[in-house]
Amino acid sequence: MMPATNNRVVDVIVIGGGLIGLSSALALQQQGMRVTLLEASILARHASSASAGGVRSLNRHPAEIALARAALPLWATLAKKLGHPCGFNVSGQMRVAEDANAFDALAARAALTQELGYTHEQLIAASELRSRLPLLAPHCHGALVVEEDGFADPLATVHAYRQACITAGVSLHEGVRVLTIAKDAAGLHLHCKAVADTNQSVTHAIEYRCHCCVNAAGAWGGEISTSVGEPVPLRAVALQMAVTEPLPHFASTVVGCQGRKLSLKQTAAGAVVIGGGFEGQVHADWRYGLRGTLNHAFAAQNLANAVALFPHLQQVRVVRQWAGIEGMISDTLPVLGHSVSLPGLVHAFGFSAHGFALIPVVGPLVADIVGGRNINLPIEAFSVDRFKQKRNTRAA
Amino acid sequence: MNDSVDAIIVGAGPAGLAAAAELAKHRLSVCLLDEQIGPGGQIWRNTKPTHQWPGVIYSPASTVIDICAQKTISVTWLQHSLAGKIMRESRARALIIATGAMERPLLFPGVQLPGVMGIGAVQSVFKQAQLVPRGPGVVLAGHGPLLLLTAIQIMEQGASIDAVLDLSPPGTQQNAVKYLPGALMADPSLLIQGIQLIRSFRKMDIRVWKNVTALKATGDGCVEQVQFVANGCQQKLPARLLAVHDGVLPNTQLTRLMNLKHRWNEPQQSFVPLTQADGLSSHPQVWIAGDGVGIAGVDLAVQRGQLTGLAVAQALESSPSHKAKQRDNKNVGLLEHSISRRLPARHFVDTLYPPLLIDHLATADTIVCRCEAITLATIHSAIAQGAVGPNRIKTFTRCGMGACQGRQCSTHLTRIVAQETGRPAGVVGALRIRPPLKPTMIADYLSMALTNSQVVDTTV
Repeated sequence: MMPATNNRVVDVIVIGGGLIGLSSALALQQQGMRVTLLEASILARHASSASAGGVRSLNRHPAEIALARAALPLWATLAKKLGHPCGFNVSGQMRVAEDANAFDALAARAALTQELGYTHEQLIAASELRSRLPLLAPHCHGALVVEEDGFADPLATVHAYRQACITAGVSLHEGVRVLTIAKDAAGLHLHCKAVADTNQSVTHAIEYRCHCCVNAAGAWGGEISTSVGEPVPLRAVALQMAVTEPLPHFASTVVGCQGRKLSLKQTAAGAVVIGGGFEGQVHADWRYGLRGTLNHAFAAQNLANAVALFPHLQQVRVVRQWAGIEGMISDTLPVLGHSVSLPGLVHAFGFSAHGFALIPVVGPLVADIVGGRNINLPIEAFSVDRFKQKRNTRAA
Repeated sequence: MNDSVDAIIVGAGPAGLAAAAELAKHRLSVCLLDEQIGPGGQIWRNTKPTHQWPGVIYSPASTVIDICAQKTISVTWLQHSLAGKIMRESRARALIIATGAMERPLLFPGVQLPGVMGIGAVQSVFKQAQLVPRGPGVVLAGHGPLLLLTAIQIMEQGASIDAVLDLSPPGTQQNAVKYLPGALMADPSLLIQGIQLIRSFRKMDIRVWKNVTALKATGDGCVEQVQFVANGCQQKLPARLLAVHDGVLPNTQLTRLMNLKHRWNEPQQSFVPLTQADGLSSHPQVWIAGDGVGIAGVDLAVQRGQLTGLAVAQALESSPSHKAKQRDNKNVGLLEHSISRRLPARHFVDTLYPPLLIDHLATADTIVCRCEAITLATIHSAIAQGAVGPNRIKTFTRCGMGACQGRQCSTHLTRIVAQETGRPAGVVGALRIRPPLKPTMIADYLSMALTNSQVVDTTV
């Protein structure tokens, strides 16, 4: 049977319907491009729905600090821009030190960012820490704080971007998995397989044509980059999270910890969202590509870390746990920028469990890259080429 | 602490117990987990175990947290022992899910008020603690055998019931009559039980209102009054307790948590797990027995439990003797025959007590998700914005993200979307279920936390 062909050539196809893809698609459409977004299963099915929702410039890899700082003011106006609430809260983010060694490590970190020309990370001592978080365990020595950081609601943000894309005229397609991208005289040619209904497994072949393409395929972004001859060291991981029943407010900031895998925040409704990077198991899934299951020993350790800082949480009930699929790059930095092997392809994937904060700045950045405009933010460190260079360096 | 058995059974009700007995007869090792403090499930509550089967470890007051079925079955569960609560991880070659049924939640204005509860809850309290509602202001509303039975049981213990509001739509009995002859042939004992139930109920001489519509519970902070329409007139009754019932449906919380395949059962308006005749699910090492396969009552639950126990024994036994094989095959045949002969009687019961339509009683501001206080109007709005199923409704509205973990709202979400969009319920799908199976205290997880030496922090 001949594959179905979408004969219309669109300006840009965005591969991947997570928040990076949605943000990119929206920015491109608003720049006047005709955009089609292709999502293999369901919009935001993986990392974007599983996200902890942290909007954090605190303790970033130095290469990402500029991007994260640029994102913060964009979060403040995002709900208005998209026409839907995103639950953004400028709660501040803190990294707590439990002993003198940890506090010294935080001080060293603060010195590092200052050397790089930033002043956003501030040390606070035990007394101020205790006045801001009265229920924090008394042994804590102090913390590194960024006041302008915060968190947002991932599901509300997904909903807001989705509605804004629809309103702007982005053509959204679910159940379409891109298999190969080829270049010919007419532009880029995508071979895909599609399902009629995400509850069914029968697929049919379908093709799309475009001038430019954005690889925002998250944990599958490495498959796309490999298929065009530029493999990257990406690993699909299942990151574990837990959320509790609502309780009276006790955490006015997002709390992390120097020396423990922990990220803890309390939503407006009072539920406590607990994560920190513990990995579950990744399994193949006929419907969604991949899914995660929990490693319960790690889940228990995550909760033990939360209790170490906030002992009163012992009496609180966990209502839901999950392990969402995310793509981790070996150096924890994303792949962002032009493809080297395929002109017309732009990569924007591999945000390694800290992409949520960057959503509002990455979309417009991708639009600028595609449009050939000046990029005002440093993105050289995110080049797809960096792994090849490293390999060449090692071989030399 | 890791341990390993031949089979793990979740649920020590009639089906689970029957399966355990069968496996014990075949000298297989079994871990029988149940969350109640005593065996018997809902129907045989407050019974004490009198028998010890060798090879069966019965663990009451135990909660399943999560089950992973890859190459082996791995059950993470919370054991309530004399030493306190310990999180355990047990492995098995086979899993039998026998978690029974739950009440179908009823949607009507005021359902969320304190003092409104399911009739099953009233019966559970009575059976477990011998408590019945006392004094005036006790009103029952709904239809179904459990409503009649509970009314009889609590009246016999001294409760007084001001009124029973029969929510059966007009014409239901005439509709069901055509299945009566078939039911009589299939399972006469079921009908005899039903007739006895109705007779005993009539003897109690409780005020019954028929063809009730527009049910509303009103009150300030708790139920104070029940309003309804009967015989074309608006009625009001003072009430302190309103017990409602719209039948029972299979409890699919665990089967959905495990991503087993399900199908939509149209007459029972609920998802049921996809199973073969012996209870084998869509996973080769997982079986389901009892009302969880489809509502069929206690007698069939016992038979299904026996059949599944036999099927699992046959699957696990390495080299049974020829005589044993013959005996087992014969028993399997007898049980399958008996079950398939009796099952058609359910057509009659399902038609006599059909699940009520959502808009039979629900209005736009009726709360569908009680945990997050989401109304029917909000759900319709989400559907209008493109939410094509329960999981999308969840992401749009937070419906299903609360402490009940979707138990109250999940089936309704499927039915509302199916009705609104015209798509079949089986295609619309069900709410995705995540662990823990029941909300679990953080303190109870800590026994499984790694020691400090095992934790490596790799954050930047």
